Amino acid sequence: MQVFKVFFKVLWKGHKVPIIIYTVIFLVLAFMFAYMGSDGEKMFEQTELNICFFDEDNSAESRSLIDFIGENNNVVSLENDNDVIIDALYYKRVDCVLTIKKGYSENLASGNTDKLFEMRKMHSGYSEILMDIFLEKYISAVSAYISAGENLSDAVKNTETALSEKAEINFADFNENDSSVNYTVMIYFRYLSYILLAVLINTLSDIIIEMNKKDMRFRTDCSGIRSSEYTFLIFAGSIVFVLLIWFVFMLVGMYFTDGIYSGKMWFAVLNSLIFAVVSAAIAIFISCFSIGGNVITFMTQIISLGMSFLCGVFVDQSLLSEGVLNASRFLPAYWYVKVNDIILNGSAFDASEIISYLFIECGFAGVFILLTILLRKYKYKFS
Amino acid sequence: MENTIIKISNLVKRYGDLVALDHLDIEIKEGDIFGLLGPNGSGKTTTINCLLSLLTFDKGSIEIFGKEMTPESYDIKKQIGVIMQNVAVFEELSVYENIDYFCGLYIRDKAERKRLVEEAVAFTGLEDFKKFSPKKLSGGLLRRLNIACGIAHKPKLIILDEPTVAVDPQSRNKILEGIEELNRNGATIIYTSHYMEEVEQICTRIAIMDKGKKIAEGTKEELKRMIKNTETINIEVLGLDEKITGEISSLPHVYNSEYDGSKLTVYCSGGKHNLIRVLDVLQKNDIAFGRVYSELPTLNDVFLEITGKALRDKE
Amino acid sequence: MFWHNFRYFIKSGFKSGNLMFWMILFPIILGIFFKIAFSDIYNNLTSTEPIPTAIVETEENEIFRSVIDALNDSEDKFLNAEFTDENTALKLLKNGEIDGIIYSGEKISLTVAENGIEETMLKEFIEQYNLREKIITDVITKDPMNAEKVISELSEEREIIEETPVTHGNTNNFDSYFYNLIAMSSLYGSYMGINISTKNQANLSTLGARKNCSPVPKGISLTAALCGSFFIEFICSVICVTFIAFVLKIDFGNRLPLVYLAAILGGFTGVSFGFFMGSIGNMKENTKNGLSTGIIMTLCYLSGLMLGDMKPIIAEKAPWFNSINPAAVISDSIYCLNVYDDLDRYFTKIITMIITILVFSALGIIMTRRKRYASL
Repeated sequence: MQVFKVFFKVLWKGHKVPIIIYTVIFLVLAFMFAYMGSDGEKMFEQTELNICFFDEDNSAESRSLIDFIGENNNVVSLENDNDVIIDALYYKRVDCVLTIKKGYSENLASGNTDKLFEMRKMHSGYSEILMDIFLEKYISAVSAYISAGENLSDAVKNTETALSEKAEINFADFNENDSSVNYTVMIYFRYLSYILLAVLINTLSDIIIEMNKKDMRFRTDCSGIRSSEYTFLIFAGSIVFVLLIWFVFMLVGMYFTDGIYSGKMWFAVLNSLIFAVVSAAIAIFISCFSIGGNVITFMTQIISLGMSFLCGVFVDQSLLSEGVLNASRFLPAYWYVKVNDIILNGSAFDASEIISYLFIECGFAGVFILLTILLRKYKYKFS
Repeated sequence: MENTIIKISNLVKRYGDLVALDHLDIEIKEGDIFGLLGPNGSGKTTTINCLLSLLTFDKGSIEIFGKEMTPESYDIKKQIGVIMQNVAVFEELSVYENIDYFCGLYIRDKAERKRLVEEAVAFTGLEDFKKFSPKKLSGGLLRRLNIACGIAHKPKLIILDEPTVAVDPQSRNKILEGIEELNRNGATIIYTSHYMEEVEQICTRIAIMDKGKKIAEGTKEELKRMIKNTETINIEVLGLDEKITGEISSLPHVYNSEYDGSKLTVYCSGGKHNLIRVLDVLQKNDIAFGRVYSELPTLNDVFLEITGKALRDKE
Repeated sequence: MFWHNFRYFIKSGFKSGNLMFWMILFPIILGIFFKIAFSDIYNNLTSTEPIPTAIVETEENEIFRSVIDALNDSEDKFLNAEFTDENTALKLLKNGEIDGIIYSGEKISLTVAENGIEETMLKEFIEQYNLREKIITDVITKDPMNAEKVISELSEEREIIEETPVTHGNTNNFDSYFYNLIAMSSLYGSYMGINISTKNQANLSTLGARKNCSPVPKGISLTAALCGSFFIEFICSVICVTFIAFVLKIDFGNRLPLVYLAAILGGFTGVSFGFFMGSIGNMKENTKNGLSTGIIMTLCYLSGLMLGDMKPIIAEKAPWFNSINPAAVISDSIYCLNVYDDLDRYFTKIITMIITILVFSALGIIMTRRKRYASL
């Protein structure tokens, strides 16, 4: 029991600062990221583009066009300065910067529709195509009405009426109305893998190395306690610590679910518990190498950040390249994120798939524990 | 010959309400090994730091080599070698590089510096460790490196602040011998310690400090003459009754005696043949006794008598 | 004496594993991670792959079918339509293999499972179809004589938009993470700055006390250490930019020398910031390092190291902060080089950095100039 107590005393005295710092930073980040994304709507909503207009024509027709587009999009005003426009486009504060050229209404009336607009271009993407489709639709409709003999203002009016007719759009909802899973909580769980790795490697490795230091170990070996018992107590201490940390994060997670987890969320909870064990196994493996505190900090950074970037914790797996994903299959976080993604995208939910992934994660933990045992035996033999 | 090298007069240093140095006067002559002895917290290091112009002080003056010491007294600083209480070396640099760095702060000429550094390495016996990083050195070797960094430039005045704390006996002896050798080569030395044995062993003059005050100063003989104790007699003996202890206490020159049931301690002041007289009493009463030994006064006795407390806790 | 101090400061700096890890290795490793994570994103986000769509015919609609066929044959089609039965279509939609199902019959309708720009485009597409149909029927009922003219107007290929690129530079906005990485690694120079103050202040380290006892004037040893740090930081910045530009192959355009200049001055900013940090208070070096890590990470966060959107948000809410936040100034200077044609803004940033360096160094020297201490 004494060993057990000392374990926690050393832990708290020596490591409360990193534990607190990591936890606080993580919570801030998690809350922020979680609130960045929005909840999936159950109805179709048109994507609103942020559009900036420079109206050089300033005619009734050009103003009418801007108003019409503004009904379904955000009209943003910017200073007509190339640098300002570059900044806005670069950071995607606006999707399109459109100039209605001088002579727009006259040219439109006379049927000369060549290059009525100027679009400032930076990133290519769907939003530009969308704008293109819309404007072409608009202009060809106006031209058609004019060719049918209407004057410009009637043609514009008819076009806008015709365009106001919405298509029939249905929203297929495949999520079996599982209200237990929401976007924010799953984002929280995704980032959790990073923090579990960082906190556990940093603190657990450090403390186990300290408890196993030669002098400490010799002294304990000389005491009445059996060596295997000592190892067991340290192991038990680690487990209690891991569970404690994990439990705290689960409590915080409940903030996002408005109460106790339910339904599919239990898979996420189980997933995170298994991942906490995997992280602890990695931490214990690292502690086989008697390294100093600085080196542990480096290892923590490299392993936690590396795994998070490679396995799609920070960046969605769908955005990573094929090669990276193939490589990250050999890392536990990859499977953690995969389980997480399945739970989030309720569309293709398959419990057996999740369970098989959970087993893979357990396998990682097993491998690390086995390596630890082998390494310790080896070191004991040759020390 | 007997030039005054350091003159501290009326020095007062306060930390808030705490008076760390209380009207301290010290004079150190050329060629001395001057020991500053006192328990932890008595103001030894504060004195040294004031002397080196690292600390501000509230009152008093400090002169070194006859000139007032200020932070800008670079001429004076050039002549001083400092060995700090805590090891002050670059962990990233090797043993040799550390000595060369500190020596280089005093000596510009490269060839001369190289010679001096080699000499310092030899002097401290670090030849085999030149390429070592300080992190790899044992406590004793690290202390020796610390000293080498302080003395490489052959200073006229060497200040050593507790250089032997946490050092094994071999290294300690080597350090003490080294200090005496430096002194023989012409350096004046200030040595602070709370190990009275060391101070007794090497110092030519000693000042005893307590609570920021200098409570006594002189050679060790002079200091010992200041107290009434001249001899302490210890006898291992069992079963003395009060009559006999009373008889012993009343012997001439005995001013105090203690008996704890197994050991009799008799304190004497002056006189000769005190031991024989004590043993006579025991023989007369037909009492068998074990080990008998007599001690001359130590600086601890001096300190004990002046302040009423031991210099340091028994270790 | 200056050179002696300078030389040894550099020697001990390069031999400090801790310092070298944070200043050289860590940015490189983080850079590799960024590269791995971000290399495909920009292309993925800016690619305009045809949108996979299923067409389910509920009734015969000859015209719509011909429109789809024509679209599928065209060169730059924006949707990839496939005729299937309803069950298959729903399954595909559920698995996310298609973005929408178009039901063609007498009326055209659309079924989607998500909200997004792809779905909006599908909506635009069927609305365009409905619109043409409506106009044609309108016109034909009114005056069938015009029908031909109207149809030809409607089906005319037009080029109504003239596209002008706003910049000739690198528009990959995910590369801004690398600009911020350079800013972070530059600001890590502050560890060295803190080290200078610690090693020269008698009240902060024994080494500082020991140095104060030597006959070297404090001004000289401080300047030597400061210059030494600048030199080390110079090397670190050059390594960092070289690695990012030539190993990770991030496109810095054709003004690479100016990128180096920005990174180096950024590094000096970091050193002088650390020097200033180190000179205030008498906390332990580790505490100060921790504090400065916290400050640097906050500054980098606000400049967009963790979240690229932060910078424009700050630019909107508190534009003054972007012009004084050292992390933002450093990363912006590199951004300016990449996207602007002229160098005005770049030089504004460079001047800001130089002022920061001078101010922090001066403050640091003023505060460490003290030679005697009230307590040690």
